[in-house]
Amino acid sequence: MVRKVFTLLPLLLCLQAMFVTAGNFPDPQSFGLVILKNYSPRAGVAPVIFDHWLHRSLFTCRLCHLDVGFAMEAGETKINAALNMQGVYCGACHDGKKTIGGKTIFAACAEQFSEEEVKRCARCHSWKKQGVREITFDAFTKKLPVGLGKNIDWEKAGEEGVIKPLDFLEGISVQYDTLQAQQDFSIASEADWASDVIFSHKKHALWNGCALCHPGIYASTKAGTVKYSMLQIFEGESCGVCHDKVAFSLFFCQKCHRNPV
Amino acid sequence: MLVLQFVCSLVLPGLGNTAFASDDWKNEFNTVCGQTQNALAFSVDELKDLIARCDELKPRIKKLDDSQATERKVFLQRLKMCRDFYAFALGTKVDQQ
Repeated sequence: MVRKVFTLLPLLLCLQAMFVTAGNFPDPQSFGLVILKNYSPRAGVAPVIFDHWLHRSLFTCRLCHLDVGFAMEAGETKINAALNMQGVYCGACHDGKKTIGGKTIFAACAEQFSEEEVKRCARCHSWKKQGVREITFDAFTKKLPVGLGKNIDWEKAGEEGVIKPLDFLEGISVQYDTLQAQQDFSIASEADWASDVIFSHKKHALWNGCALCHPGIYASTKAGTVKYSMLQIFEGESCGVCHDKVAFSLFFCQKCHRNPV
Repeated sequence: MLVLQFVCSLVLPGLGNTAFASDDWKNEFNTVCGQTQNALAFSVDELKDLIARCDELKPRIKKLDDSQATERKVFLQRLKMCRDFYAFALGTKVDQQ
């Protein structure tokens, strides 16, 4: 009986959360949004809004979180203007020289700037400012496939070639050997209400490479060595490091538990 | 042109070496950490060698002067992730044996 209660606990929590947020799945625009305000308020500028939806359409997770060195936890990198101006973190791309899709990427920060150039600051320092962003979510994502909860289906976008995220940044990235195909595998579900998880190692490795997940998030390759409950995942462990924060929401159960019970 | 190159090689050998030395650690980093994608295909000895090269590289990056403090911070983290992954791959290999 006790075991059954524990098995059903994640389901109950999931249902409770779904009722609380009924009809209100993660807002696609603010999903994965990070507000950087370590130093901005002290410097007298608005905090930075970092949109994952924009950047993940252009770059793989590995490129930014391994090669460029952004921490996986929001706020941990402690980015500041000086670092950006030295050509790291945001400045690794935002240097006013690098181009993407034929467009020059604007420089992130500057010590001296004209009145006209202040508008450039607002492209990132735009928290609670209306109409200052040059790239808006609606316009940018118009051509991207929409999935569950009206969220962008990044998996499909990649498969259909709508997005082609870069995995190499000149002067920053290591020229990696070609990744060997990784085998997908299934993870047994202990709950009888949910089917086993079909984990696509191939897709995850394509976005993340190897060292982003191993051994930091997954310390073992032996199937079943470490068991994660949905509670732990909701707490941000295992799949929860990315899912529900940037990668698709944990409420879309069928994305992982694919087969009907 | 060849004459100019010859003269430069005589006059500025030290300068050339200094410039090379400053990037030397980065070349080693790229060579060592550029192989993580294949880590599971390496033998135990190859992995041990890569880990040793990571360990040798660490003090060299740590020694970067303050003008390269940012690079030091970023590359030490990247090196850690790279080394950890080789150690992880090694552990997996040993377990399999």
